[in-house]
Amino acid sequence: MAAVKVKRNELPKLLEGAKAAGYDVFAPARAAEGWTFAPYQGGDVDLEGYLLTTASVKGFVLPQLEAFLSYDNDDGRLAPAPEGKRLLVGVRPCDARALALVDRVYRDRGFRDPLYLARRDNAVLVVWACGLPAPTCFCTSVGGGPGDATGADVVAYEAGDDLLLEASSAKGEEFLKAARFGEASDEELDEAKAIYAKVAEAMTPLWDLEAARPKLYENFEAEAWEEVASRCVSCGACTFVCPSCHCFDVVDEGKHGRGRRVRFWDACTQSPFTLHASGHNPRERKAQRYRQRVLHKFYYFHDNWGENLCVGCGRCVVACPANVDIREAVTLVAAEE
Amino acid sequence: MATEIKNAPLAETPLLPQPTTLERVVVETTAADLKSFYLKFKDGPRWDYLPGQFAELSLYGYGEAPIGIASSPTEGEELMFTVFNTEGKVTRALHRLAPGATVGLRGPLGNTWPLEELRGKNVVVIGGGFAFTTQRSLIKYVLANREDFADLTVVYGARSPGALLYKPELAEWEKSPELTLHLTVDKGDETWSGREGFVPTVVEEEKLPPDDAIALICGPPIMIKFTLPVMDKLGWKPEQIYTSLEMQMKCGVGMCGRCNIGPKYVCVDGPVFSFAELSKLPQEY
Repeated sequence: MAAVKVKRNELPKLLEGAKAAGYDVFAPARAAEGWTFAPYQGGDVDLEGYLLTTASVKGFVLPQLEAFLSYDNDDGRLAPAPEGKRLLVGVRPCDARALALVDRVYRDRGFRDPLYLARRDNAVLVVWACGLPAPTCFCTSVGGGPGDATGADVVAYEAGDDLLLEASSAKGEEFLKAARFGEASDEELDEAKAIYAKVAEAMTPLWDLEAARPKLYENFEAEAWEEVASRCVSCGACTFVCPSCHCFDVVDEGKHGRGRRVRFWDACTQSPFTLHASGHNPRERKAQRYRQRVLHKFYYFHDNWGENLCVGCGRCVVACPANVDIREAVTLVAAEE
Repeated sequence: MATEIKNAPLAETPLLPQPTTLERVVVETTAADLKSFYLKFKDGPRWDYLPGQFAELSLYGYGEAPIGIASSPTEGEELMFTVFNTEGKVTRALHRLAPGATVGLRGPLGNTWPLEELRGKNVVVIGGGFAFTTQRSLIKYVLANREDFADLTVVYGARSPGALLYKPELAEWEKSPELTLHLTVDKGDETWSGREGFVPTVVEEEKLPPDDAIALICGPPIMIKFTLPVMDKLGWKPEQIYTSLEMQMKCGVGMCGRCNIGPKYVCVDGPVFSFAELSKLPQEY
């Protein structure tokens, strides 16, 4: 099965079908500010004006705060693996790509995180190809694109009144098969994809990363790091909205011998992140910390896995209260001689 | 089901500690700020480890701390950790424990001292202060597999005689024909008839030869800073000198993201690095 074709207004039928099949369905919905993934309440999914949710989908697989273990005196038990199946519809390609990158860390380094992987396995991501990127979007500059299927289970391409849904994983294939819609022809699919290829072409590349990447590392001591980080207030917003930032802190919460061990999102842009027990801190200054964030995205992760840890969603650019811009950071540091 | 999870290997449940019983505690220093904790897995021996590796010590309600394994796998089932009381939550609570208490362990974590490269070579251990712990593991390992290695030379220094770790063992080693031990303290006291002086000076005076040798150096940054130029003068190459690094860590398995030095994570790619490797990384540790 290559792909299925549904009318745009048949989408509710697909989602209701998924609900009936036991999925918790989430779709983009307007929030007080911007958009969020909310439980699907039935009816039409209005995506007019939707580009990105304010927070990425990472919270669905890596919750902001999670009790991964509970203890009663000396007896500790892992939290049971979450079981519910979820269907996330309207995910953008950048977010799905980010999860494929986080998989490297939580699955492929020789240690497998059971809670993360259960959530990952239980989630079907129906990615919505992007027809109208924002000025802050730069996915094509970091290896992604408006129709990128990396990390997706199904990719939805809009084609007039039709939606073409193409499976891009075994999970996605199974989901589409169960939904029983008519097949889309190869021609229809190619035609739809060609439109998104045009969207990609229209996005001007910011840099040639193959050339810029080694410069970023060579310029480890460059003055430009101080400059780009000078406005940073170390609030961590960039890391929290980032779909691929995956670092966490761990704390025990409880009293009288009973409690839970929780992990929660942490930020390399904040000073306690690397503070040693001795008081020594290898990344004491914010320029060092901002450099860490940029080099992790564009150099260190690439060194380990051959891919950038940035997906170009631009959320950090939007969220920063001080207008620190990661695109500008790469440009400035790579340009320094 | 819960039992299954509890016994699953670290690869599948990397954040779940395995329970051990604290068998005994040895106060190592006169200031009592360093104690050795001897632990035994509650359901028998659970993992194989090698000198240089570390584990996360877990106390429910307090948290976890990454600590180098000071025992050698050649010593039997007991695992030993020598812990400095930093007055942080975990180490303070550990220091208050009495035998019989339960301590959680996650490990073994990280890489090992370069055992393959050490095989057949002269082994030089240079230690200072309380960083000596995983070096002790290596020394015990070499002594237990003596025929696999050539000469074993140990330089070990501390601020004062009372700050030296493993004093009964040091006394044995001083007499042993199996190794050469150069003990030194910054400043002696009335109990001390041995050498006074800093570790770099001892390395210089003893002219420790680099021929067919590998050195393992651990200690305070200031000691390492002054010892490396001395070794350079003696002809040691950065490829021949290894150290073990510390960083703030939470998970120990490359996920929580705080112990990296450039692209290398101290928890999974280290803690042991050669100075040749470190020379290619940012000086950010």
